[in-house]
Amino acid sequence: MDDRTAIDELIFIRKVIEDSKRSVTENGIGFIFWGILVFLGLMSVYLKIVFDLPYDSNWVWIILIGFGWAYTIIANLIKKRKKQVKTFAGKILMSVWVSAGIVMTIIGFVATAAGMIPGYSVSPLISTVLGAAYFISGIIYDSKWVKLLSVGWWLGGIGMFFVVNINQILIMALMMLFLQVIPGFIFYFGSKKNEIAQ
Amino acid sequence: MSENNFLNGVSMDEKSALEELQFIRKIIEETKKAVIYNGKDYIFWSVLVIVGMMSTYLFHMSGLYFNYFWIWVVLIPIGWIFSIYNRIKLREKHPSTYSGKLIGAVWAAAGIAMTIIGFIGPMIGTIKPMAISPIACIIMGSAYFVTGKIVEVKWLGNLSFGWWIGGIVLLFITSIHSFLIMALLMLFFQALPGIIIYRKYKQTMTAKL
Repeated sequence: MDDRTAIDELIFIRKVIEDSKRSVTENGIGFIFWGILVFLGLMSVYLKIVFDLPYDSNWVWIILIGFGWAYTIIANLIKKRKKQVKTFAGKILMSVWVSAGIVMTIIGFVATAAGMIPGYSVSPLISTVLGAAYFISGIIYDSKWVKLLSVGWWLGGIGMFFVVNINQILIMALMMLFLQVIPGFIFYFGSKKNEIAQ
Repeated sequence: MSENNFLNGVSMDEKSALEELQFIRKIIEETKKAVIYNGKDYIFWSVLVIVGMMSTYLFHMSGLYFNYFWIWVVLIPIGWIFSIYNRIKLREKHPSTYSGKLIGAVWAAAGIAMTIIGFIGPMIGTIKPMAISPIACIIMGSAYFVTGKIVEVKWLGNLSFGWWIGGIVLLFITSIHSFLIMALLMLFFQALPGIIIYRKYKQTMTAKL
């Protein structure tokens, strides 16, 4: 028997299994980063309305979301340069969140600029899209609690359709905190634990 | 694991051991990519939406006014029932693969999102009826983008750009022609791909026999 080939085959199989394990070890930084960005944006809109502050909320969003995309793109380019192994599940997760980001950016900027979507419809729409992204992520991570986050986002989205006042912004900000930032921290501490264990 | 640990003392036929390993590797690679999908959902949903869009368009053009929302109340549940039925049938015929499970999740998630947005938003009045098509297009784009990555088929993934561009264009069209454009988008970016997938499925099944 060609020992080398057998070893190669086993190494490949082991690598696939390890890759799959590693791919579901999310470090949560993306969740925390985007969660805080959107939380800040929402609070800036809320405070502007409540205290009649003299700035344009649209520009706050352009800066925050532009910064978010720039950070995400640069972080991924750095990852690529480091030639970190990309797993199949990792690639799919990336495509889920990139496409969800594209959808949310179109809804938040183009749809409102076109006048098709009123400002008070943006949060429920984005919440519904986030629900879809969390649902697929939950399947990929094979994690019940991540799947349950999608139910939170969907129910929150449905609820916000009924709240057509300033409180909607606060609700969305709180959802961002509890259904995005905190799960991000859970991922983060989980990945740190894994690193230590390894 | 050292080389000796798993090679020494193994009394099995070496050639067949290697064949077993190669077989396992092949299965792992295939399971990652293989999706036994018949495309019937794509075709069925596109026909449903085209019927809905065209009937709304034609009723409006011919001056027959009523609450067109009811057309969708009938059509969408039919679509969901068919999708669930098709999934059960496929599961009976083929063992589920990881990719197949993911694709199911992607379209279920997109379907739930579109159903919430298409029904609840307009019912309460927070979403204009004219906004449903563009938003649905943008979500469809996302679902195609991810599906293309899962099956690693470029043309399927590239359909997402058609949906996204179509959705953006529809955001600026507030006339009744929006329904006609959506029906055409459904035909070219959903029904035709569905037919292509269905034909490939038929070819695969014939080759397996």
